[in-house]
Amino acid sequence: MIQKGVNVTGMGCICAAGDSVKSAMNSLYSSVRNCAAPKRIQAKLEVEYPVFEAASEIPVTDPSATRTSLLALHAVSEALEQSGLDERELKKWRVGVCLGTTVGCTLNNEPFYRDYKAGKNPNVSAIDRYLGNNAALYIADKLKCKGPTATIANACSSGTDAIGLAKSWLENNLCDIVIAGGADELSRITYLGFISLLISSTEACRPFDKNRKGLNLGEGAGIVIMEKSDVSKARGVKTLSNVVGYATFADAYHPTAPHPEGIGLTRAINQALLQAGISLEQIGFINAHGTSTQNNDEVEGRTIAKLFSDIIPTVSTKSYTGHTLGAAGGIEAVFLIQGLLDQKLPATSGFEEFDPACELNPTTSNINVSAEFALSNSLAFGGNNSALIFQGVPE
Amino acid sequence: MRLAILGIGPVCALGSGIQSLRTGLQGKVRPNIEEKIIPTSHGEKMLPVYQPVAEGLDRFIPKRALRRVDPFTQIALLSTYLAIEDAGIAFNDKSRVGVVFGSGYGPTRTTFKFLDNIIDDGDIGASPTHFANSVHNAPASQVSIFLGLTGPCSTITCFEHTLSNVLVTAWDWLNQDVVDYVLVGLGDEYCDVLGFAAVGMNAGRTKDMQPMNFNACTFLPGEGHITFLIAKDKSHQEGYAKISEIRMRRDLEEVKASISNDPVIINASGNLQQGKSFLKVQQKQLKSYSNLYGGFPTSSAFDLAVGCVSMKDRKIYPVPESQKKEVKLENSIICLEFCREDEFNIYKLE
Amino acid sequence: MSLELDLKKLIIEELKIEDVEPEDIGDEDALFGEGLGLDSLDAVELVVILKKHYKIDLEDMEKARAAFASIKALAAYIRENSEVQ
Repeated sequence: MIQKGVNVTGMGCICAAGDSVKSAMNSLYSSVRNCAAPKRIQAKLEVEYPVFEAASEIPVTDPSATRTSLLALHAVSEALEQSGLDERELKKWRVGVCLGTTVGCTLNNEPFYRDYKAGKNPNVSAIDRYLGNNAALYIADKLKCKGPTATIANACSSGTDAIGLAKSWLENNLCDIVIAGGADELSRITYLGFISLLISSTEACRPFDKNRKGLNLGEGAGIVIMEKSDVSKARGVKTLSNVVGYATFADAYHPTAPHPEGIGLTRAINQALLQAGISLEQIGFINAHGTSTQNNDEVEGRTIAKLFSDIIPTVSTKSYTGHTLGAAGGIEAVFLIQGLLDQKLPATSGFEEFDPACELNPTTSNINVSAEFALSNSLAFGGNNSALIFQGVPE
Repeated sequence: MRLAILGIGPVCALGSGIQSLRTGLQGKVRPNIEEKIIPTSHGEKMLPVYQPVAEGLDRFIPKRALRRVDPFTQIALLSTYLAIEDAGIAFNDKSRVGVVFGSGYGPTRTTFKFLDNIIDDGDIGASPTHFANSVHNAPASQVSIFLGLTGPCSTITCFEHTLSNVLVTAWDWLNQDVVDYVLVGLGDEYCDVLGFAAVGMNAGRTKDMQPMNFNACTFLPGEGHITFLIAKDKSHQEGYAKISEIRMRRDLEEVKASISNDPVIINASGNLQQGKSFLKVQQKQLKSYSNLYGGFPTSSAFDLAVGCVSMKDRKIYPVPESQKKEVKLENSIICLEFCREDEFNIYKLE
Repeated sequence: MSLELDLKKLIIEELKIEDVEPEDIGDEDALFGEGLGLDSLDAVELVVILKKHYKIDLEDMEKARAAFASIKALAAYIRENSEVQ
């Protein structure tokens, strides 16, 4: 097997499906979904919109950390352990941190702002806390990483773009190892924002289904440890996967709607294939963006069908995690790599009826696949389209 | 590969367009500083804030098309059009133009407008337009939409690591040959909450910002956006300068070794923590121009622009208010950006 | 003042439509697409605006599509469904 790109040597994940890669995959393979009315946030609305909240209470190891930082830290710890990177080992290498987020970078602390607006002169420690919780900087500081550090804020493609940027850092020798992925907590801001856009569903989401009613928000973090191949070899650590292709292109079309012909997505997939040096037929399965909104599933489904024909196994794991925004690309990369290792895909939960507008039949049960390469798509507000291609490295 | 800076579009307290930055450096124009009233627990306090003088967007976009575009994205658009105009370039292939933007705080006023909606009108009052405009990548996306650019489009937000990562991303796209040009934009927006926070953190004790006084807190907030039009370095290129090195997160020793005798522009903005580290650099030719545009997370991009103008004009402009004279600039200039205690990003312009 | 005129003023103001006066909008002119040039993001904004001002629920996009056809259609929908007029 040709070794291409950079190696993934560790993975970590926390989301509604579970607080580790193993527990999340168990939920996926047994079609369990934890979608319910929000508990951590409250809203005064006439209808309730269910969400996918992270499975268990995460220990607050740092009182100054936001939930987004804690989610990131949780997944980072799991990933580092699998990669055999303890504090001492981390010190030996130039380690970069590249994370995607949306909520984690916004200055909207609602309780603080309510007090401020009411003239109560609240303590500015809330702003201090915001400054200390930039996703990538937080992790880099916590682990004393000295390599490049970047937080990407490309809305729903942030996590995918973070892995893509990390890949280029390694290929350009800016560092040896990168902690990459994404993290986002559930917040009232995104909850109310997506409801106001009329793309949130009042029932559990059903990606690509004819009767889908929108997305459910989720929260979590998904992390991959990426290394230059000479570094992972020198460290004697097992490679799980290679990141072989990444590309992103804009639609230049509309602030909140994808281009109807999926021009940016098509180009991103083609460019990622070119970078990977493989043909379309070599892609064994797709982890779709599959948000369960009218627009996304229609454009993405049609684009996949046009490029790959409708028989390529395609799953939307958002049916188990909800839309975790900046974390989505990270979590989906983890699920995709595990799928390559297991040669298995879960069912797309909630999907029942084929939608001719989407032209796509996602998985309806656990299926076995025979795949060396797999593709993960991410589409974002503003018209970003990103594609990542991984190669599985089974034992 | 070196990066060639072909056009610059600054929008800041000195005005809009590269000429306004130049006249500011020449001391012919003073920055627009507005007094903001900040509530504190000891009564109201006045805070001088550098506010942009944004002019001329209607030359590029009809007002009607801007109805949904918020003030921050408007200055981002303006700085982008100005950068392209400055370079005198028409994009033949819009699918090969990338957009990579960076911001510390993102569109802050819209962020709080969204909160105003739900505080004033209840949770059902959330505005989808404000929500869509409040995300960090709104400016870059709008630039790609208004200009029809279908190359890669990305936004980075990482405080002191924003400029370096944005430039490295641009470099990567050019190096991979997925683009011919990259619009590299950086900016931050002031809002009342940031002013309140700044005062709460000791800013506004002095009427003016004294960036070269490393022993006092003289920070004053600013606002602005700047876009650079960047391409691969080729011979016979017009433009300002070439970025020949971007070195991220370097310690004092490396900084001292790499700046040698070059003049150095530092992003000191009256912040004590920065001052402590800059004191240790111990180089005679340190200069800061941030009292022309104020302090904000991406203000170092304006330092880079000052470096570019200095390279083009072949002169080192005196630090504002210093009464000194211009000095001839030889071959290169360094921009030094504070990251954290004794850690810096180094940009070399040739 | 008629409900139709109120609606025109509201749309112009809230959606920040420049250089258009209420009298420029015909009661039967299309609001979306070619007509006034509104798009999908305006549609969802309009749902929030109408809920705030007239306490009507247009979250069902099928219903909204019909109501958003013109000022006339929208006024009719409000007369039928709202207690606030």
